[in-house]
Amino acid sequence: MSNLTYLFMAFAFIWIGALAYLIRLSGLRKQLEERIDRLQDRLEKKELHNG
Amino acid sequence: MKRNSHMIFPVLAMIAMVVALAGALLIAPTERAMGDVQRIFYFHLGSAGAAFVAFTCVFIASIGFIVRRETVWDNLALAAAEVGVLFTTFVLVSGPLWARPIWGKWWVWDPRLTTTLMLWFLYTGYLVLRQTIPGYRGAMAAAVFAILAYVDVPVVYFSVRWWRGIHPQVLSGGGGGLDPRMIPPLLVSVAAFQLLSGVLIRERFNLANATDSVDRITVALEDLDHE
Repeated sequence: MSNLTYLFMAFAFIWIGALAYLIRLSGLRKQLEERIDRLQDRLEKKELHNG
Repeated sequence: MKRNSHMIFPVLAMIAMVVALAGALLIAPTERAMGDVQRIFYFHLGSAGAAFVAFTCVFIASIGFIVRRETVWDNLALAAAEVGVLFTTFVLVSGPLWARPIWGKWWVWDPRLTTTLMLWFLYTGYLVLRQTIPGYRGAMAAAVFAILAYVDVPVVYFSVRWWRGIHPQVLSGGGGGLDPRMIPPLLVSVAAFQLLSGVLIRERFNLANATDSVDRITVALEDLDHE
């Protein structure tokens, strides 16, 4: 392998790793935000129902 | 608007990373002996700096948790530990990719390399500990473990001074023979990695806080069910 191949592999690993982690965090955050919204709706309805 | 403002720092971090990449590939001079592969140095050192700061954050947050007993400190320690492990992984992958064409070997049991691998295992162990023991007990055990594990951070930094190895001394030897033209792209790279690390810690911290909110609302719902 040439020097440039090692250089490319190192840069690609870091870029892909950082992007994949950021995208995963962003996806999980969206899922949790939706879940919190749903749970809060349920909580408000239950509180109203229980008086 | 609020959800869009959330993207400002990740976008800034990505722009900084592109600038750092341009600096390493286009502005930094080609090192005479090693050639282009030496450009790995800019991201290798940037990753190492980001990992050190992240683990320092784990150390401070762990002390904060032990003193204040507030979940927010534990969440910060968890977030910083995960990001620190990510950047240490970058160091441990980019290092051998640089070493192979220069030293002729992927890995050498050099003090700097060995202590860095230990650092990765210590903080991966911290994350496993967090997963294994749930609740307050787990958080407290992890905080104590993180404070003890931090001892390895200065050991990694000073290992090139304390023991003879083949890893070069870059920052600890009064410039270490670094070409002055390499310093601006190196500083840009280090700054970009610190920004990226900060963004990732913030995202992970928000995620941990959101998980706590889900747990709190679930408990409140269960309490209402029992009434």
